[in-house]
Amino acid sequence: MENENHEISDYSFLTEERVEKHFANINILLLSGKHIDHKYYTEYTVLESYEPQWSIFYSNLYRLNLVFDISDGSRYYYLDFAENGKGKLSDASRNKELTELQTLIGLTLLDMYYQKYFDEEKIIYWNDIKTQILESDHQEAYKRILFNDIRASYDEKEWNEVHTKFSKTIENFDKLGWVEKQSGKNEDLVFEIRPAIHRLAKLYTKELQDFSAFSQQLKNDEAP
Amino acid sequence: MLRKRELYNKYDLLLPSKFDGGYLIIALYEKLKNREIEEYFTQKEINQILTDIKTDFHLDSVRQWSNIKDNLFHYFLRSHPDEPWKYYLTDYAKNVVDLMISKLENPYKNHPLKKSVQDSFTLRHGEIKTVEDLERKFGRIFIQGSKQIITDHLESLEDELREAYKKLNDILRKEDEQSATSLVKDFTVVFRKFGERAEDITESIISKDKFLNDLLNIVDQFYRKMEDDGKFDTNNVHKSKSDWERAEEIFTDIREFFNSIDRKVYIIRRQINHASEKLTELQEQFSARAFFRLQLKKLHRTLLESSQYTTEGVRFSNNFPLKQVVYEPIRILYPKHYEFEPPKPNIIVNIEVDETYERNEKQKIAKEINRQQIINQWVDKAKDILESKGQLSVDELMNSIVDEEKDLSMAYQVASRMTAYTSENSNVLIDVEQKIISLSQQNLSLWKTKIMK
Repeated sequence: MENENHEISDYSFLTEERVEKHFANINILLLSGKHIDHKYYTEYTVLESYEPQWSIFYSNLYRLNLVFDISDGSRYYYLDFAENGKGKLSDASRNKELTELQTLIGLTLLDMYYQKYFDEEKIIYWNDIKTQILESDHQEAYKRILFNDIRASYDEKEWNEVHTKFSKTIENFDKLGWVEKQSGKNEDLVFEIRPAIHRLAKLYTKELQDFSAFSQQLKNDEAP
Repeated sequence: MLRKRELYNKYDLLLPSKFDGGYLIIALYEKLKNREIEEYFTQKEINQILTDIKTDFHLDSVRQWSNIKDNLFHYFLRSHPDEPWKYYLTDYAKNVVDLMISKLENPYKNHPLKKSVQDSFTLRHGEIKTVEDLERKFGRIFIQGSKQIITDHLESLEDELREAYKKLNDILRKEDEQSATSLVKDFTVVFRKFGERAEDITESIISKDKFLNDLLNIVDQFYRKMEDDGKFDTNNVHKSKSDWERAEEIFTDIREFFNSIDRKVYIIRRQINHASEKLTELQEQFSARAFFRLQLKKLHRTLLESSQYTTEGVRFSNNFPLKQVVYEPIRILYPKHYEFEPPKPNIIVNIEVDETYERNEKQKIAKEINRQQIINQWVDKAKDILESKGQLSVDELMNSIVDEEKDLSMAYQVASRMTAYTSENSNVLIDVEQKIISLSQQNLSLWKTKIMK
């Protein structure tokens, strides 16, 4: 076992032709938080072929875990902080905290993922999001949070602001590989929700494990 | 372009909106079908229908017959030629309603696609003798209806599937696991039917392939005829060439049609497969999946409850935790000025200890300390002599020091300290006689000096 580890830790796989060719791309994508699934076919297969080597590489040089995960039958790779601390990326400029808005939109998209569970590709149009805000079970909450006013309809200017918010977040999620944007600039949003969006749920594993305790804690915090 | 503009202009007449006669036409059609009214109906009956519409749709008022009849008379209604107070629905009106009904009722649902394909696209042996025969059976205009049947067939299948997916997706929104599980069971049955549809489509494709093959054979026959005529019947070449071209054109048209069908079928089959895979998967692990889904919903709801609007954006009203992801942006900097020779760093050289040198130096120091101690002892001794005898001869003192210590400098230092001592103490006197005394064995001479007390 030790021998095996020793053999791998010499990083000789980096000189393999396929790895050399795609290293920069893979490294940049992973370090920028990308969840690489088979839509990034080349990168995915190069990662897959040398999985243990990559894993040791990131663990030794960055103190980061290369995680291989499966959600809804789709496989993907991403980097995560080691159990204790944030590894070499502990500097605040080197990791990113999801904002409140991003968390909100992320969980909304995860909900929409299941609304389209039987569709092969979960394509979301801006109109779907509008319907979500205006007609879903949570319409009151959405309206309150996004418009600060609960009404039956909103004018174009108000919608534009919300569109911008979603647009920026989708852009960010696209970089993370949680969605794949299909619309261009200044076009109405169209994107596909990728199974990797489940990573967001995974980030909340601890809270979900004992949800009642978690929600009780939130209530207690609010009480005084 | 002209036709398009006309469609825009006359749209309201071709498809009148709900309360401008649209609902009225549907109601008339229904009542005719149920034989509640005669084929030629009266204005009284029309007014009754309008009143019914008003009640059924909870309207305060409804547009009156006199206001809508002019528009309807364009395409939907006519007066009886002999009894002008009676009206009848035009064929166009009936067709429009028929089309709507068939869109909803999906008459193709229970008819296999394979049969539709076979009915319209089969070649019996010896059926086609001339290119005219071919044209009559498969020419662009003559085949239009058959094509339409197949396209409609596929479209209705797509509608049906879309409806099913919507229902399937809704299952996952159910929080009551028990009823959801039984729903999944029901849907497995529905999807088995879709599976049969997929099979039907596959068979249709096979029968279509056979047909295209037969058709190609016929085209080839025309080609061979043209070749034969080229050799044996040159007068007929012109006609047989044009026959072959017409046959070729028909073949291309039909092949293109089937290509587009192939593409649609491919998408439909993929969707069916995907959905039925998901369904099987769901059936196998429904409770785990539903539990996870339920948890997500709770998390989602809690988050919504915790969020609030602020001018700076969404903020949480409590300690709902935010999470981090790895993010190392790649920065490439372009400095304006660049120091091409960076300063060399200072290097610290660690010199080893020279032990001999250290030892010698330490000995020197020890020797010096030792000397000082001896000198001090002699000074004390000299003071003692001065104290006890009342006087001290410096040359004698120096001689005895040199004798004992073999060091003139020591003797000299003791003598200087004693001389200094006389100037520090007023009760000690010094007497210098101008008589040279040379110290024995030493190259030093001094005045005869006596210190007294």
